[in-house]
Amino acid sequence: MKLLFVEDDRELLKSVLLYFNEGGYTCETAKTIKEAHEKIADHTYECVILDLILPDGNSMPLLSQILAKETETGIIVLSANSNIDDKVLSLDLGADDYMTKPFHLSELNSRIKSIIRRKKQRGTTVLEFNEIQINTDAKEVRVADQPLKLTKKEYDLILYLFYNRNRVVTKSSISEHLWGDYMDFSESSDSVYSHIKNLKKKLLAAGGTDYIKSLYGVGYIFKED
Amino acid sequence: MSDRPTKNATEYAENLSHELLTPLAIIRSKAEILLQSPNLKSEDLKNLDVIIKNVARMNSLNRSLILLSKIDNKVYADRTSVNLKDVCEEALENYEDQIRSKSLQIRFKVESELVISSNKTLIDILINNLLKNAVTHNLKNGELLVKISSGSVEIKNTFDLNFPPPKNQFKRFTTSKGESGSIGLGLSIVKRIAKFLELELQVDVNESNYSTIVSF
Repeated sequence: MKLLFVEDDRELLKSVLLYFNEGGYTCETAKTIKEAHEKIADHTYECVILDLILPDGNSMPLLSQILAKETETGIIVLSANSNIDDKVLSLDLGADDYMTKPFHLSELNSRIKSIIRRKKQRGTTVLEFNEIQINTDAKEVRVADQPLKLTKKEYDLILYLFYNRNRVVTKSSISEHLWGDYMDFSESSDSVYSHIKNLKKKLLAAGGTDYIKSLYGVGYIFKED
Repeated sequence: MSDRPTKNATEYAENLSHELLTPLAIIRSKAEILLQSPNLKSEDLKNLDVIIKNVARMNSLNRSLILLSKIDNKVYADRTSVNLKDVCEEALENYEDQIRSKSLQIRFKVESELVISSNKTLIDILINNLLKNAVTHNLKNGELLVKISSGSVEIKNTFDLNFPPPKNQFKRFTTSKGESGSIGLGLSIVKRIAKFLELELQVDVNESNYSTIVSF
């Protein structure tokens, strides 16, 4: 799967390359609109991650170029501005999602996966991890074919951990994923813990394996031993 | 640094806050990458945890500063019809986990419909901030009242006697003793929103209850 990161900050580019090259993606980068323009003309990408403000201007016009080339390309606009107008305009112009900095890499990863899955899902909406099945259409989780009764937050949590499987996910990113901007992290840390605890309990009670490992209070990792 | 034109000091502050977002993104991403390396010692993990938590704290603080400058710059001037019952219901939902984990007793009284013409974004933030305080500073098994009457909303909560609310709480950066990680900008945002929307705020504290009444 091919991703294009359009971003002018070198360190941020190094981070996303390190993180996403290990996740089964092939990553390319562009630091200017001109460079992005050329790459989009020459290649087809599953997803383009686009910083809104680049050294040679506002990158919003690239949206139509990307979609004219390949309508199935997913687009996530990244912005250092929480301006609501930018968000509305980007989505109107065909972006699939909009994120503001400072984003968590794991959040970006889960959104990329979710967009690619939506665009490519030819009929199938079930994600599998050994005995666990997640049906993203019905928002239902099954363990060994038995439906699991989860709250909305627990469902969001297991999907987030699944998309980020085999990687450490910080508590801070889980908190922001589940509660958004409403909660300061200091206030939601206990709630993250209790949602994880309840989810583990339900998976175990249904005869599933405990794939969620805690890492010294920093975060969690969803993986097979 | 930004070379965008600045009309006044608050606009300058807002631009500066935006300039902080990329460095924050860099620090956060490097911490996330470090965290993936195998064989980290528990001491390393603890240090990474502190870095990650403080990026979240800085981000939260920075977001509050951006909001304060935006209010000053009259970004939120548009008015629509706002139903306070809906706003309060949604806010209670946002905090349902915290309410449950503290086993708070909630009373939600709607004595009268209250629909006003105001800025929806700011009213949302105002009610959410007041409710956040009422939940955060509450006792385990404590009480929380949300009462909508004609012309006003009251949010009242029990509080921990060991950590009484500070006297000058509407000033920026005031937090009650014993809290860690709290930002202390919540109430100054409330105050600023009230001033901008010309709402009256009345705070009553007795030995066990803390109450804020917003009059529209």
